[in-house]
Amino acid sequence: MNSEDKSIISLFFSRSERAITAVSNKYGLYCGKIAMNILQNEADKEETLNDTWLKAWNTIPPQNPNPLKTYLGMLTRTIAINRYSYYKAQKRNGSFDILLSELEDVIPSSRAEQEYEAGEIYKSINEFLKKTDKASRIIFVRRYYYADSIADIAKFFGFSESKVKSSLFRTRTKLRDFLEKEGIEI
Amino acid sequence: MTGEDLFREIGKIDNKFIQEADNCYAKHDFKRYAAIAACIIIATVTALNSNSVQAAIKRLFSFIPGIAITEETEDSKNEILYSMDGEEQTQTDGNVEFTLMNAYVTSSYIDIMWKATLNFNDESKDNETVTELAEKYGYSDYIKPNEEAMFPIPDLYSTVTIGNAIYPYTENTSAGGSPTEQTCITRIENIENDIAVYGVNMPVTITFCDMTFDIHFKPIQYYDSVDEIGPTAMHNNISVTAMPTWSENKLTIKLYSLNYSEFLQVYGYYDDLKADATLPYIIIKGNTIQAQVLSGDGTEFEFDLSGLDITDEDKKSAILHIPVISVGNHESVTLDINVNNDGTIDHPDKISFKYCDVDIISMWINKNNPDNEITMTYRIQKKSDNIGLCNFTVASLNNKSSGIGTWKQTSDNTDIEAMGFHNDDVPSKKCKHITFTFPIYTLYDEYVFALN
Repeated sequence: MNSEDKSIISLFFSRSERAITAVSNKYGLYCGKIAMNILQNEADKEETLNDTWLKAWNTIPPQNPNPLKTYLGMLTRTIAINRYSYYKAQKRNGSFDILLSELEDVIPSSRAEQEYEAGEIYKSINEFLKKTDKASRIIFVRRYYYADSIADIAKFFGFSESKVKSSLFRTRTKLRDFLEKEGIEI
Repeated sequence: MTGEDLFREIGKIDNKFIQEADNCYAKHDFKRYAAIAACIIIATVTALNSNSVQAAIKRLFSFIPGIAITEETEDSKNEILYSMDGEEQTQTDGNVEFTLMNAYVTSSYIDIMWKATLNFNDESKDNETVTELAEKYGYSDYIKPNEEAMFPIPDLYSTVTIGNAIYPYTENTSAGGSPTEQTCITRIENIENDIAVYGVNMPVTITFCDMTFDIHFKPIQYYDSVDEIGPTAMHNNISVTAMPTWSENKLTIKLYSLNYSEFLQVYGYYDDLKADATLPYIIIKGNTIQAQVLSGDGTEFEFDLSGLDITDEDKKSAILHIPVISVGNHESVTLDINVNNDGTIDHPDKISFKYCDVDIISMWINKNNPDNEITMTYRIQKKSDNIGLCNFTVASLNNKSSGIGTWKQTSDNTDIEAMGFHNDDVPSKKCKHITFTFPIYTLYDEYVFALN
């Protein structure tokens, strides 16, 4: 853990409210991007960030996350997807809906209606990612963990959008085959 | 299973994959990171409380351009000693552009921020080609392939000298960018002796691809009053200084605040959709121009002056208005409720934050929602004319704070707002206590600055 994050964590442990200011300053942009990718709404993003800082305040201690950045990103992602779940009945977020529909490609149609055993599939996804080449893996994680748009991924990496799309398509197809071979009931 | 379920599962993947994707990708956050690195250093001196207003201490304000204005007290010292004297500057040899962006000296290290533009590189190249080109141009000590990178983003090295000491081909402390452009920080540590010997006149150079900059420093500037730093106004014990930067067709404003209020955090302006004219604006040469936002926290924005043919006299007579700023506060209120069998909820008429009441119009269990969440409609009532409430957060249900999901809905047409919330660990029908926290207030006292 770098010294700045150590300082921030120590602020949390000493229950100093400056911890909120510090994480907001340092990780507001990072977490805000994740929230915005999912919710596509500035007000919702701000609420998600507030909830993230509060959640961090309530969980550190006892948590002592290392790295802090990834922990905050995980909190933001969870809070944002929870908020999205409610919103989807009222107001669709078109770009995030597209992302979810891409992920539905990974689910064999025969199993789409089945219940799945939460908390297990990610282990197989980890195994799959280990075996995936680095470039494809990073693009996959940027898209389906960070919920980045295809245009953003293409822009950041200097690829064409079609190159990103085809990489994602191939990875999704391989993941579906991998999960089927693993006998994952999804 | 749905795509949403799978998205949640992907949220649990190994940290190493998440970090890998982040490390490879973090380039555009970089400038902010660099600034924040310095902000963290001074974070301990920026959050002042009202006691410091009352105390009859000697005032001493420091200004670190691009970073902060701070007030030093006997209890807190700014750790940055010197900042770069001069503006950003660039050299080029046609193949490479080298830009010195900024530099800071603390009591133990120096950070030099710089940018390299490699005109001969792009995403179509591979590591081998980049290496060949670097050798061809004589840059191979400064530009080396990163075999682990998935893109042809080479590692960049610079040579730093401090006095007679040479730090040859030093790896960056941090860097981010694309194959063509990278922004870097080079940190040299353990410079206590250099500071003792040279002080602010420390002779420092940085070289990249045989292009060298001499870096000159100036002490962090101190002022007896904030007004001496730049146009400043104060309301509600929050001092805001607006530092203007004029360019040909543009005016950029960076806000620096000093918080003597009881509020925990000061943000910049807040775009209140329900209120008129909350965006900053300037009046210049008879024109009223609204701001375009640059930063997410409302502290930086710019004005498009193209076509106005602005003179120095016009600049001196320009007036900047910031109609509102927002502040966050650490306070909590708990609402005791009783959920009836039919899903209706008995509730108090209002909750009271320190500066605003929230009149509760209705509460019920939303049975159509899969989480059976509690839905609440409410109306915000100001306690004073100059403070509104733009946000607050659900902290816990029955004192359990984990697993909370919330949403909020506002409308331009009505003052009634709605929010819904649930807690994965607390069935809504068993909820008896709801705690709300971290109100964000809008302060309506307009800050007005003469930019002369």
